[in-house]
Amino acid sequence: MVRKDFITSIVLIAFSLSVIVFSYTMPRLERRGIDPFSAPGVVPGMIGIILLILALILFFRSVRHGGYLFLQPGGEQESVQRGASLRVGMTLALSLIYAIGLLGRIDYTICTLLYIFVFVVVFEYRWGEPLSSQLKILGYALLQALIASFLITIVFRKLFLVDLP
Amino acid sequence: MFEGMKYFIEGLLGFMTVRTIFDVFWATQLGIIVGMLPGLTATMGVALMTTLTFSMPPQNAILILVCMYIGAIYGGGTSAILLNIPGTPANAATAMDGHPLAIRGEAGRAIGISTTGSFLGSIIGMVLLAFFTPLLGNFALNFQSFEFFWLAIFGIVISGNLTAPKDPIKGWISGFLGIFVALIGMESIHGYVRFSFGNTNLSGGINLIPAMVGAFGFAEILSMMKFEHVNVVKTRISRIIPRAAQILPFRKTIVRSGLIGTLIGAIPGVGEDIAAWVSYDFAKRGSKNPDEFGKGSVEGLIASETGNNAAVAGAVIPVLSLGIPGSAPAAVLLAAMFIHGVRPGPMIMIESPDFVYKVVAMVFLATCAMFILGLSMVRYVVKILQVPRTKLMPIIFTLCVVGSFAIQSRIFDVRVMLFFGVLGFLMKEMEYPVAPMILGLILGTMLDTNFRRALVIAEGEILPFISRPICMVLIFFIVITLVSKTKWFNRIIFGVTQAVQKLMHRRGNHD
Repeated sequence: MVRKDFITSIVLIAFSLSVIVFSYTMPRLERRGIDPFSAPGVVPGMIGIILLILALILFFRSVRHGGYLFLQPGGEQESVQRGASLRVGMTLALSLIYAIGLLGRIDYTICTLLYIFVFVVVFEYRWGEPLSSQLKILGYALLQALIASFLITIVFRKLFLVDLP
Repeated sequence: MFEGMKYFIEGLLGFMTVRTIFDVFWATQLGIIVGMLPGLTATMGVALMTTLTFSMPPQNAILILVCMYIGAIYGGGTSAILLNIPGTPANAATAMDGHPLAIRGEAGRAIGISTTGSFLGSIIGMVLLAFFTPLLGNFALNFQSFEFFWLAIFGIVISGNLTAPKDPIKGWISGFLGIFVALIGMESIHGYVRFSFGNTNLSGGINLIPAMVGAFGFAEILSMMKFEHVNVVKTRISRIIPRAAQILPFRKTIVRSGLIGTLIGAIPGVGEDIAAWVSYDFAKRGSKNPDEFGKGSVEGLIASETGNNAAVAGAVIPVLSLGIPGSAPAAVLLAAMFIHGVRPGPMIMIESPDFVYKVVAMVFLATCAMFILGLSMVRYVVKILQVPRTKLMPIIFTLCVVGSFAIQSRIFDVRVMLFFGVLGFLMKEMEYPVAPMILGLILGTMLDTNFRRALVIAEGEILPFISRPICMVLIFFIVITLVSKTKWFNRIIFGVTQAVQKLMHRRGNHD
């Protein structure tokens, strides 16, 4: 955990310093005859300073516990973590492609159908085994994607009268 | 008091239509399902439902959200008992004793007891909600900008302290980050646009609902997909309806957990999970059989479930009286009230006192529906737990997208949801609690405007900030919260306790 604290504290120090700088450079609106105590940069500056103090405490604490030795190997759980990272990365990639890349460019129902189908197949398909033995997985994934995408479209558009992307 | 009763009965009678009762039952059932499914939290359920009920009349929409909230907090207990995976974080303590009972073949009994505990907890919370909201609301009428500033700081500090008990600094960082996010966009005093870097979407500020859907929905999806396998439930559920003899011996635990749950729920940004753990801890300390805790203790199960459901009503107390949420789902409820034109806060007892008691009536209806559905439908609903998460998660994500898009029909809000989803996931990985950030997002505007307004009133003087009586009390609590986890403070407390004990001992000998 100290390694994670070390990394996050550095990120937070950089972030809070930039908040302080941006707040300081914000206009004080003197020309408009505005009370300097109500200037827009007062509170962001204060929050930046508080964040900086907390991040520094975290930084020095992690340094005291050897958090800067973060380049050392992570231990025996590395392969388990690699698998988890791969699954998270895949989920993130598919979701970003769907939400940023496809939505709004193609029809919502088709886009959702594609996303659900690919998502289920990616995580349920056993990649080492022949395709012929896994047609059932593909079939069920397609059926689920079809039902879900059409139901979501109809329920939200017609029943809840909600705009869809 | 009698006026309150009158408003409550009027509110209840107003809800007695077929359509409303139907709404109560489907929303509570949906809440139970959302709560049961690991990866779907009460916050996410209430946030998604806010967008779906957008076009409904305000009262119906808020009623549905209350039902979803109460149903979800209760529903999480079922998966905690059957799978040993809490459906929502609020049910983590339930798994401690509920799951061992299920392993012993007493799943039905455990669910029955948890349902009754949730019901009684919710009723205790409801009574306290009706009693304390007007008192707190009237007291808060004395608050000025100075007090509101300290109240916001107190909310962040205590929420950070309790949601990250091992390392409060991370809780505080999370809270102040939330405040920073709230400062993005046009500020309310001079109309100056902060931190938008020329982006017109950012100049409107960050909308709470997409941020919450991301932080509690998408982040949860990413966390769930980290694991390769999740055990699928195959437990037989026998008799569910509990006998009075199973519950009555624990009446003291129920009342104590109900009171603790409501109190913890009412503390800004703390929420049901802490309420359940504290209730569980107190029950263990007060129990005649503390060794049974963690091995299938009915008392432990009942304490946790009573505590978390009492916290739901407790979390609504500051929502109505101060305009500050007691928990993350209550934060969405607060946002939903604003969306529907209701303005909770100190003025509510003057402007619309009937609304407070209508909310009490909503809690009552949802609690009754939860009890009926919990005891009757669980055998069938539990089958949903058998759906693999690889099939469920893509559907949940599409709902997150629709939920964030629906309020303003902007793709920008979908991006906000994605950003907060990734941020929430990384924060969880780095062991930073997310709840204080959401509280900060809500309190940010209040802190900003009131601090600057107070500075102008005080002409830059600090004295009025620290010399007003309510400010002094708030500062005292903030300081105590800040130092409560430090070694030197605990050493002082230990020293004082020892000295007092010695003194008492000497006096005893002397007598």
